[in-house]
Amino acid sequence: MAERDDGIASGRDIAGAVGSLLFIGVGAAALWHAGEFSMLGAVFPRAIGGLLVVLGLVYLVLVVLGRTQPVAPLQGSLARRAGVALVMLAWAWALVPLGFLAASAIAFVLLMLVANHDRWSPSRAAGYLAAGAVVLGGLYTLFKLVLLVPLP
Amino acid sequence: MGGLEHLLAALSPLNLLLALAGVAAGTVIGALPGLTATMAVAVLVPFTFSMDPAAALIALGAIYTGAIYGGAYAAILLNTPGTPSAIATTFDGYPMARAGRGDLALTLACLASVAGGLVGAGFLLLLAPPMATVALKFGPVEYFWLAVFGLTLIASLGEGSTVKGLIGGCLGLLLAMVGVAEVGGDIRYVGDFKSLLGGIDIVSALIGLYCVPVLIELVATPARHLESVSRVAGFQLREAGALIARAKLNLARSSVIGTVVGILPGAGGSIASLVAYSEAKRASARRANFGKGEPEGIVATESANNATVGGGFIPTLVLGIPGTPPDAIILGALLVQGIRTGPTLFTDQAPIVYTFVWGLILATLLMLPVGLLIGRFAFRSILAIPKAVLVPSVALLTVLGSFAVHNNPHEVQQMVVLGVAAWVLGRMGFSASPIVLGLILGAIAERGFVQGQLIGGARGSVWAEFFGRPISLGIIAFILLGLLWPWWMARRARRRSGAAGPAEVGRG
Repeated sequence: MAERDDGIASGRDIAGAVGSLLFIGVGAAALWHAGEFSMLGAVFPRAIGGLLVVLGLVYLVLVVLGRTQPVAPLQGSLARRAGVALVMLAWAWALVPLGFLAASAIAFVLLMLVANHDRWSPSRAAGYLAAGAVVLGGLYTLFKLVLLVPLP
Repeated sequence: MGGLEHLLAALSPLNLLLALAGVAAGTVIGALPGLTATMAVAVLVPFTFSMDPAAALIALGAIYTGAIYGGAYAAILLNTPGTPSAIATTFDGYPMARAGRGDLALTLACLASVAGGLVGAGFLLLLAPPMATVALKFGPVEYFWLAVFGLTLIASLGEGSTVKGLIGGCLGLLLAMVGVAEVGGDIRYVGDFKSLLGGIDIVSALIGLYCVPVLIELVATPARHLESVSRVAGFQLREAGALIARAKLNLARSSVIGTVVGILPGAGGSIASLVAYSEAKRASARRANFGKGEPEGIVATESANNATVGGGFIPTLVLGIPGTPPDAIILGALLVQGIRTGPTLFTDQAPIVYTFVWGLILATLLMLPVGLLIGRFAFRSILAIPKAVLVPSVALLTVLGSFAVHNNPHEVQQMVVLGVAAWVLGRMGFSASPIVLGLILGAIAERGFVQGQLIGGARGSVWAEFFGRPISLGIIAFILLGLLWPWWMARRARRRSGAAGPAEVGRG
């Protein structure tokens, strides 16, 4: 990838091409499944699935012609990003088996660990945990007891 | 017409207190991602059953208008629309906050919301009966074209490649088809996941698509979440007032768009703000700045979504047809109070209706001090909270918000999966906004398209059904204008500049 005078990266958008291939697959699958629907139910899936395939192909052609801009490279920690995604996925699936309070308390602490970039000290840890307890307790009270949301 | 006696009735201490409390409660609830204006009204409606009808209506109207405005806080400070009506506010609000102008963005949102709310309430006061009849002229085909009009915004969002935006829009339209089809009843794209039978919930999807990628990016570096240009920036009322004055045409146009879209049953604040944003961008001399922190974008979206409040009450009160989902709940509350809506409501029960309309105007005015104070507190709080507390706190709100919509843990899973997918797609250059547009407008577009085909087939000409109705033709003209105007302006600018520039990397 080269850097233009105006600071915009130029070159082939390989990530976009991979995404386009993915969407061509999604569009083709949508078209395939549309064959199982009634005539009324298949009109829109066929139209949009077909359009998705065509647009994916158009973008691939643009990539081959070099008329695309690659996405700026990642800056910062990939491990921390993956950490947030994994904790949130686990949290969503743990809500029912563990219950809202237990799952949320564990996820809250894990996200705190992932998000903190400063040196840990006993006072910092105590302060953050106290803030977490207030936020979790306050929102739990608001939703469960005031708004009567049946949290698991 | 609402006279002085009704204004004085609305100014009673109890009504003023209800309006103030309603606006504050609505603003706070609307600011929490996942808690929509509909939910704010639904949760608080039982408290109004023991009140007299006018006071109950004032309280509900104040909650509703406050919640619509409150959605702007999370949109501007967290890139997550607090309510679906605030989707388009993220386009310029969050970039402004990232650039250290969050307090100005919040003040602008407040001023625009008040102005839009007053225009909507003004139409309700002066033109309710004639305007309600306009809503009845909208058939399925007009709704289809209105949805297409909203979708054309994808082409003008200006976030990188247009083709990628269109691909994202198609993905959103496909996601909108998941579940049981409204027309035909087919079960589509559910696979073995029975939890998808009800479709993908828009609020949960919104939270995931907008908020989870922000959380993932927040932890990557130790840099602050938002910057502040000045520690003592204050409300920045003077600068915001000057910006509003500069954008007065935009403000007026967006408020009228919001009122008209609010009148259309089922359309609501999200479509109003998207259409107003699209029109503001088309008409602005600074259209290149839209999506990068342009104040006019916030003025358009926030005035339009708050104008839907007054607009939505027009068919609700005159025809008994709710213009927006919160109006449906308020309609139910009216029936509990023994009030029968209909064309004669404005004559038979004029004291109640006009006291309510004046109360709504007062509540909208009260939004100014309440909104400015809460906005300043929210901005300072977000600035002061360390990331290690902010990230899990916002994550907790996303989980609570997506669960609370239908008390359904599967919607939390949908929210997180869509959010992580949105981050991955973002790394490939596919932004979330076109996906959201497709998701929101998909059902309206498909319903209108299929019903239009059926009606056209029965009448003998599908073509005439789609292209032969005056309102449809008007909307089609706006669609073409929206698509071709930026291209034509750019072409004219290139011709005026006289010389061709160096070869550019194509926008794709």
